[in-house]
Amino acid sequence: MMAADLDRIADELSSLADLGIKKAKAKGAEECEVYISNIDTMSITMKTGAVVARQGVSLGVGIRVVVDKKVGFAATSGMDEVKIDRVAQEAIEVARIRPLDPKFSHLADPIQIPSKDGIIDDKVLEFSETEALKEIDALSEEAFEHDKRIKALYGGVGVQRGVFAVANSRGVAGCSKGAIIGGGVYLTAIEQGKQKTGSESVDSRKLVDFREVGSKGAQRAIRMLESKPLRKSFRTNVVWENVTVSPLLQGMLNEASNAQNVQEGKSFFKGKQGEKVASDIFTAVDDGQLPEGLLTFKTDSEGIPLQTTTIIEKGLLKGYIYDSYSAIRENKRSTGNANREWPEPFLSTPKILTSNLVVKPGTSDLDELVSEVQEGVLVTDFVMGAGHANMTTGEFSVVAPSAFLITNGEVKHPLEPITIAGNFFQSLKSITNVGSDSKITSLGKIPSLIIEDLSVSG
Amino acid sequence: MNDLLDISQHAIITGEKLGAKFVEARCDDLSSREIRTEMEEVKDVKTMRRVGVGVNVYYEGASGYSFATQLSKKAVEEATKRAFKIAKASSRIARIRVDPGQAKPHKQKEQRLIIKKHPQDFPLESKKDLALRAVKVAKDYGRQISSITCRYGELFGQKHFTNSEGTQISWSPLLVDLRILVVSKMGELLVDGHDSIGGSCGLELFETERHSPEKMGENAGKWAAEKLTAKPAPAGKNRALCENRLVGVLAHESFGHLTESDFVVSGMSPLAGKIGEKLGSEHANIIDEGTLDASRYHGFWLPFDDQGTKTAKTTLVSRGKLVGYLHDRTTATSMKSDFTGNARAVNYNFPPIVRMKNTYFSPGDLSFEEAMEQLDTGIYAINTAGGQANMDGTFMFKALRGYYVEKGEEKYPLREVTLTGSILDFLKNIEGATKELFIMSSYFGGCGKDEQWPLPVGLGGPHLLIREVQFGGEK
Repeated sequence: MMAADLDRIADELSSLADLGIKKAKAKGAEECEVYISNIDTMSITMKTGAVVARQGVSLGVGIRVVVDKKVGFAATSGMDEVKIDRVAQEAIEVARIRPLDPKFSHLADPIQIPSKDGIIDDKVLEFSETEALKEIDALSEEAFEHDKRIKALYGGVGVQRGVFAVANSRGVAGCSKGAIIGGGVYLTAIEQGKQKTGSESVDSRKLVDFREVGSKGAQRAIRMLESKPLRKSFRTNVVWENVTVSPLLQGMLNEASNAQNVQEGKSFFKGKQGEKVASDIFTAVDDGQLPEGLLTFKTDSEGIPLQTTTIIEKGLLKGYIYDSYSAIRENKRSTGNANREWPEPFLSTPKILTSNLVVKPGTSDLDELVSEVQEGVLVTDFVMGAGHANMTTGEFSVVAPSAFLITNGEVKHPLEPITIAGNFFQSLKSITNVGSDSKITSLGKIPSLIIEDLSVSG
Repeated sequence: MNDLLDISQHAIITGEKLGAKFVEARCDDLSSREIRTEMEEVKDVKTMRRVGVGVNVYYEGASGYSFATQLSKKAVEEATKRAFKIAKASSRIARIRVDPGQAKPHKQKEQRLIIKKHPQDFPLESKKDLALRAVKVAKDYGRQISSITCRYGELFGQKHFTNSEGTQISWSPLLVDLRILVVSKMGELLVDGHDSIGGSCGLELFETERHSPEKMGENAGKWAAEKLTAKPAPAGKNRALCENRLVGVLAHESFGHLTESDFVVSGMSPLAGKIGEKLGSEHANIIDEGTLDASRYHGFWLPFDDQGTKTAKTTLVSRGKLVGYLHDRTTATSMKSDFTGNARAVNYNFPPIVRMKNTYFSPGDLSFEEAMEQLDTGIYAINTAGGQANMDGTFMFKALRGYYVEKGEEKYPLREVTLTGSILDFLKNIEGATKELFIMSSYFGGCGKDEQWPLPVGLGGPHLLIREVQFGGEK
């Protein structure tokens, strides 16, 4: 695929979106919105030498209509004129069975703010299956050659290139493009019946070399073979490596800063604007315009420009994130946070979601963070259970398969799986330092950090 | 119907002409509908349809997959060419060769489940009423209610499959699901009550006493109210009685994945090379099955997998001994095993990979009262809010609710019940199983593997009595 192909698809989708609006209006819709996506995915998965490869284009249309002030939605895969016609009709029928929602007044109005798509690298656009296979092969070789105790590999390399267009009858017309590449590995090391795992991944808008992912993942698995049980429960300091804390941080801040949750009384941040909710050194921004961010687009899934919204600044709660529905309800402007679920966004209606959640980095790298801690644990690779935390109250309990004991500022030895529990919103106030090692993932750009006084057991 | 067959046949011919050893083509035409209510307001109604064709091509020990959303000969030809190209490129680096093996061709047209009230024949309006009926009762039974969310979902349509052996199959998947969540609030404390049911059933499921919207609303309201005065589960090792759905998620999430033979062939699973070994107590019996008795259980009805294999009832663990793995055609061929019918794809965007069907612990001989008596003092952990497992067997699961039990009697309700441990220790510590079996499936959520999520699966079991279960939480 070339940059010109993306432009051609963009034109095609935009004109189909216009056609959809005309069709829905002709069928009696007072207002309507047409969302069309075209996403080309190529992905290679490898399990210790067995390869599963796929490539193809996922296409589809989702239409929202307003009939007698009531909203209906329908969607289909594919995107020819006949399908658009049928989906518009179905959406109208759905709208008819909905009762009136007094909180809904109209679809999004256009907002004029300059905005851009993220970096699009020609090398990512043109990345072929042959190159992908070469990368995964090299990654695998690197992992197995790193140490004989690496016995199994589960990994993949993939590229997503796509365009979506969204237009509505109030004059919104947006179109966004993107191309991202990613690769990751999950390795198993075995020694004398003891089995340990290590993981590593890179996601980027620019072409990267995945070879290192293999050797880094291998190091991570091998070092766990020396693990010892903790054999106690105590309250202590936890140093979270960037990738381990990202899901918890994004999950919690997304729910708490979601304007609709605030309106419905489901957010911990309700009524706390301007108040201290985190430690002074903590600043978190929803940055939809970070050029290297994986979730950067010209417009969101309602056609509203992506923006930069400060959520927490130096510990103080500054703002919430909005889609059109929640913004119009408060006579505010949407912050461009209407998202539809990938990889088939056309199938869903918009929901509020952070774009790139960016936590302002500090100046210490991970080793320096560890050296600041007299007693505690370091958590690396990933934790289990972050997605099952109570997002409303902040209670969480996670299991860390890759953790280390810290004594007097030094990593003592790896640990058998430990459980870490606490309350996220209290933890925000107990962040004692933020690292300099921000990592780009599909959640944002988040560094390592230290949280004191968490419950740790193992 | 014949068009779809023609299109699939065209993929086979195209692939074979290019030089492929084996080609599989499948056409999916699946519709789904969802309704979400918040209190008495209908917040979201959606109808969705996914139609597409997927082609899997085998070439010299590798496979390649592609798909198209247009059902034309031209589109399927292009998809087949892409699949072939990617298979050919993959064959150069594949060190574990994949071979689909051989099977007798079979033909099966339009197999469908016999039910009374197919959701397709009922308007959305009547399903909206199911949700609102549940909400109404939940309000009567709840206390200090902060929100009530109810969701209804349904999936139905047709799947067609053809391959180079001449197999031609079409069948009709079906899934309905109703769930309600009540949140109660006292000061800063938020607690929830939740009930749900789903499976390959007609709408008559919601006319049963146990799964009527009214009963589910009552349960969710009551359970949320009860949690207002609940305490956290005592952290540390406790004896536990685990309820059917929690047992099901343990069978699926923490054990089932380890028996998926792609993980066995690749050496990732700690169960690799352990067939015949004693892993657990005699009360540990685990099955994976495609077609359950729909009049008694609410699993996901899966007569064929996405390689056209008739699904088998596969015993994974028998009286504590590991006796089987789950296979697709290629892993069964390489391990010289029977086909089990576990090759599944979440939709036409993806190739089939080894997945579970309906995974459950087999029942034992205890009555519930006997199990409580044997538990004596410990935790009764009920249902699940999900969890996560690692390939080394360690897991973390959240039960939705529970009770602290003393001398066989429920003493007080619990909230934030988190179980952690290793499934391999867990199997050894099973002391008994009750005699009832409950299995369910769900439209919302499902199983995730590789990039494929959410795949409908069924899970369940009896109540299991287990010693030394690690409960998490703050000290």
